Amino acid sequence: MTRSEFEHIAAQLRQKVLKVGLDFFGNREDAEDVAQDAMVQLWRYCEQIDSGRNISGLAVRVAKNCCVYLYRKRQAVQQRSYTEIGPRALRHPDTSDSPQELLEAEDTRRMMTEVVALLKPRERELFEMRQIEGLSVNDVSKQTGIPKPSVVAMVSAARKKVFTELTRRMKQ
Amino acid sequence: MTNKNIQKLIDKYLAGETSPREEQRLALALSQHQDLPEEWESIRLMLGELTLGEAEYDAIMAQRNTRPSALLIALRIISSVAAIYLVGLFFYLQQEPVAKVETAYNNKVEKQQSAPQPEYCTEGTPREILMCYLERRQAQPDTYKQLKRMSNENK
Repeated sequence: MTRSEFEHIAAQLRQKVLKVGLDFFGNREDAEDVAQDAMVQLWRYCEQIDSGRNISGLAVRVAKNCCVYLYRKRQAVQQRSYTEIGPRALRHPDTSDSPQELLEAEDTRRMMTEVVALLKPRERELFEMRQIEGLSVNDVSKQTGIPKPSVVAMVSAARKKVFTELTRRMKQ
Repeated sequence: MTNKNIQKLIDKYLAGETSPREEQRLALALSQHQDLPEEWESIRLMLGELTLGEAEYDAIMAQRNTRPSALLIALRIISSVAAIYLVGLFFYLQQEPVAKVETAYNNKVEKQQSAPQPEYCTEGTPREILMCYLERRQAQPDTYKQLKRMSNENK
């Protein structure tokens, strides 16, 4: 998806992520923060998404992550401690991670990207639809026109390949 | 979630048969698990930050829906106390006022005190004097018994 294609649907996506923020925080100000954060992340990521794909599901997931991040950040400020922020994966790189943790997280992301790139194009597409967009097998089947048993089989094959390769690399 | 259940979900995940909800549960369980084996660490990476974030989002929302806030609890207590007070007040107001006996505000007592009867039955015909005497005797039997006793002693 090009940046101009993203801009074309940005207003529609913004409404969706704003609603997620409003549901979570219950006030407009925080919801606007969530919407802005989520749109920036989608903007950075949009060129990695295939054109023609519906990314509203992904936008909602990103917005939920932004809500949790903001919530944890405020809790951490209240408690004056970062020990209970929660999973390391949820932390954004601008606040609490040490340089070493940031490098490790970056390495992990790069390794994951490399491993997924080894998949066949169709496998990769289905893997990402399930993994990144969070679609169910039914939704993937509807969007791609592939029968459900085939979707399950292809996603399973893709996951097993990624799992084997990731485990092998981590053992090295 | 026990290790056995986690392993079952991982097998189901690798078979491509998990629902998005099950994947969220798995991501949450793995994020809370200490000392992950390498295989499970791979699954955690595969599930990714988005799945984990979504799981946390849903968990926080569910927690909010089940746990009432402190303000709500305070409001419930205040409204309960107010309701009990109002019910009590309603029943209290339903009672008819009972006049207290032998008080300054008792009309009957005031009437009796304000209009004292004459000491002796002296007015009226002899029959009326007799009836007056008998009524008084019935009303105050002790007094008349004592008078009778005194008159007998004087004889």
